Amino acid sequence: MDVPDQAVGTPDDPAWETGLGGWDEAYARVEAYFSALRIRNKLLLSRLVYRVLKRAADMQRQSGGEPQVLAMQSTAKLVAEWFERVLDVKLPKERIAGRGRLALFLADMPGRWERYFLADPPWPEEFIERMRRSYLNAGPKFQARTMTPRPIELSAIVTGASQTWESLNRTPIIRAMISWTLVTAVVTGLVFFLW
Amino acid sequence: MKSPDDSAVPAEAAGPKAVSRPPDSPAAGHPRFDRHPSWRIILLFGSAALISFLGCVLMADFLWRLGFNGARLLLLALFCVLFTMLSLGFVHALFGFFILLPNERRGAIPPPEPAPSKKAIPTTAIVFVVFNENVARVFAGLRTIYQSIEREDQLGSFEFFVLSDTRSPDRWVEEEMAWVHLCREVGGFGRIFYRHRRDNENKKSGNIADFCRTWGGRYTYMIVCDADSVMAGADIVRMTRHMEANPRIGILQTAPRIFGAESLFGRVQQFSNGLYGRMFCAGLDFWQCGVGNYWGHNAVIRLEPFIEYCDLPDLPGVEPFGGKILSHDFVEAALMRKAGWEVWLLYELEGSWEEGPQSLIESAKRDRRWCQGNLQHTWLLFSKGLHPFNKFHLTMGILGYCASPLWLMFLALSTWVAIDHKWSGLSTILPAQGFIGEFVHLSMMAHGLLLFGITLVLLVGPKMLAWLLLAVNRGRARLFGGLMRTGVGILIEFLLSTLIAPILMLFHTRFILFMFLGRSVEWKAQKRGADAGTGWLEAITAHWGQTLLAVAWGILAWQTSRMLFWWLSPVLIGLLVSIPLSVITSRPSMGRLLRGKRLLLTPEESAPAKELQDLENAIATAPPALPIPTTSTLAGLTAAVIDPYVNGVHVSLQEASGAGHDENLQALADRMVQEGAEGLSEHEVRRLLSDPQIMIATHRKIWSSAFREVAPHWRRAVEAYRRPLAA
Repeated sequence: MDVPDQAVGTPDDPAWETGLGGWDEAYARVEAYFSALRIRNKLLLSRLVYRVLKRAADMQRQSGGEPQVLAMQSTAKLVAEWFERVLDVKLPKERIAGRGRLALFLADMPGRWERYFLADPPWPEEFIERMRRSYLNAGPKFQARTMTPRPIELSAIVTGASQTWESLNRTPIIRAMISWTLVTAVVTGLVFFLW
Repeated sequence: MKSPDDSAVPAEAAGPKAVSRPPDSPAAGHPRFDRHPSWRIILLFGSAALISFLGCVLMADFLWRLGFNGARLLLLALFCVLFTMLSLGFVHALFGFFILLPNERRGAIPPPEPAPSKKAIPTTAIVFVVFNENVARVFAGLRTIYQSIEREDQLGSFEFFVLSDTRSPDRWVEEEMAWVHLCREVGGFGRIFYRHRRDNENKKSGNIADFCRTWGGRYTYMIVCDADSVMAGADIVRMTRHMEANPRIGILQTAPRIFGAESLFGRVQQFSNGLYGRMFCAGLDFWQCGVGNYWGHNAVIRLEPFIEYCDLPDLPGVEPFGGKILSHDFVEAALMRKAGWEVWLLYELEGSWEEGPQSLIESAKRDRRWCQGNLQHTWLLFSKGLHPFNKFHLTMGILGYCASPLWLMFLALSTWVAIDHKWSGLSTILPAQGFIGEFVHLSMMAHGLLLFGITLVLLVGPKMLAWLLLAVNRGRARLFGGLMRTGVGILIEFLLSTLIAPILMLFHTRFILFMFLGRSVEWKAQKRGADAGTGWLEAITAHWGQTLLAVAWGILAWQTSRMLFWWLSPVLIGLLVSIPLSVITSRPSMGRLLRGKRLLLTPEESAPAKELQDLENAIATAPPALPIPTTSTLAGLTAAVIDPYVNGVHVSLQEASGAGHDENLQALADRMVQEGAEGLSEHEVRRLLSDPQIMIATHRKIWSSAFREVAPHWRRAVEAYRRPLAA
């Protein structure tokens, strides 16, 4: 692998044109993203970051742009392409990214298969199988049923009372007047009774 | 793991099935489920009626000696209601004592074993109903039950569901990741499922109904667990086998034991539940037989009749008294029974647990919800078709809260009677001797003490009976710390209950009053102190009115009559010390202090079952569900946006649930990226989280953008990954 120090002085170096400053942030961002993907091995991490930054440098030579933005675009593209190859599917860019990350996580890639991340084939059969089988089954097959409430049968008096209650609810002022009249009557009767 | 097509495409909803009915022939299962209430009702309620009658006659005679007037007539009426409830409780305990005694003498109460069967248990769903709960605790409980059933070698017959109604966006994401972690650890994919509801219509009952409508046709039985439930696999298997052997049973309810209490308040509840609970349940089961009640969790339900008959209707009117039924369990039991299916209480099973509130205020908050739910049941007392026993259960549930204002009225009226007598200037010569005075020759003082003594016997009697049961089963007594310590524990529990009872009386009265005024009680949680437990400010806010009332009432009573004052003193003391009592009893340190002295001990503490030990280990060793500490602001949302794996899991789950893309959300997403999520409402955050395209695009955008283009919160989140993460 090219040692970054050696590569600084060559046209292949990402910082050749623009200088080291802008690429510092790009490096940190890409490294952070791969750390978020739980790549722990430092050597692997730096190799992967360098590979991304090299591609980003090529992009910058062709069309310009901020190093950090290009670096993350390059990361996304590199990862998406790799997902497509490993999973052997063709999906829209947005879906393959999410699908691939889910597969990585469920296949325990960081724990067992770190070295194969973004690597070219051949990959171990077990790794391929685990990646391709990795879906989330949040629920079993639906087997729906109709569940509807049966209305409560109330006696005639209570039905009348409930209808009265509901009509009072539609006229809050009258309801309040009736309520306070009842309360006053009860309290007055109580006082009279007790005194 | 299967392809996503299996779960994503809903099967056609099954057409209306033939109406299910229980079999006509008697159950061929365990004789325990072959009992009928007939003579049992007469015996138990007859005993209660006799005791009530004697007490009420004594009171009537007492008041007759004082001379009847309107106030004393009302006092007698209130006394009769309250004393009858006390008698019922006592009689349940008494019958329970005699039912348990023979087995306690033999050293154990064996759980009824179903007939051996080689048939596989039909597929059963174990559902955990979750709403903004402690995520680690929920999944630790699920893991515990999962592994317990695995030890029984019966896992093939069970599937597990976490049915989440969680509104907190952060907890929602945390739940998803905790589910994935658990499935990976125990190999639970394809057996443990997670469903999050977008809206929590009808709350818990709606959550379960949604499950029934979606997957109900897949399972024969459903076991409902709350977020804090734990059940032993052996007992789960036992219960489902009983359901198989007894095709008339619609619901089989266990009697969960409280565990895990730390505070003094919690441990007192735990102790009384452990010591007295089984006895009361035995008495209850004695007469109710197949017309028992359902308590909403730790029960197995036969799904077909539940779906057919137990969807909850709306009540007339609107909340608080009408509208959606809040306390669904009692009603579901009543509807099940109405359709002819039996509901039994299997109190003998020991492998069923739940946690309880740890403070007086938490208990009161829970009571606030239950109070409204139970009072709603008043409508059902007048409905046609419900079994009289179910109406009795509903009535007891209503009276459980209405007794508080009745008791308050009784005390207030007694005070009034004393004041009225003092200020009327009437002499103290009694106008009548009454039966007791004339034939038994008891003085008024002795008569009053007799009444007091009988009331005390009814209150304390069950505790003594429970202690006696321990006395004949020394092995079980050791689990409670020994006979002597249990006795001390009973005394502590009695004293604390005496002090707490009037506090709850006022809380319940206030809840009911506010309900009648059409208001709900706002209860904003205050920050807690350094130790877990109720803070002083929260306690003062909750109890200042009670303290003032105690002072005023005490002064009034003292001025009126010393006898009245001393008679009221247990109530007044409880109210007066409500603030420090609320704080002190909520402290785990107090609970630990008594536990260190082996007081208020229960079998769940002294010899915890394997499931409880496993639960404790699972909680202690649970890895964090999120890569970001959950104490961080917006941890769940941040993880779902920033972390590649959390984002992948969350997006996948949204896609599987059929979530679509809302173009109108883009502006909100852009605002979140540029200004941060702190200014967004919970509802807005949920909307964003529910859109898989938005989540993927936002993830990419934040990682790709220069830091100057995103809010500082996102910059910090990204930079956190520069530091090494846990695996």
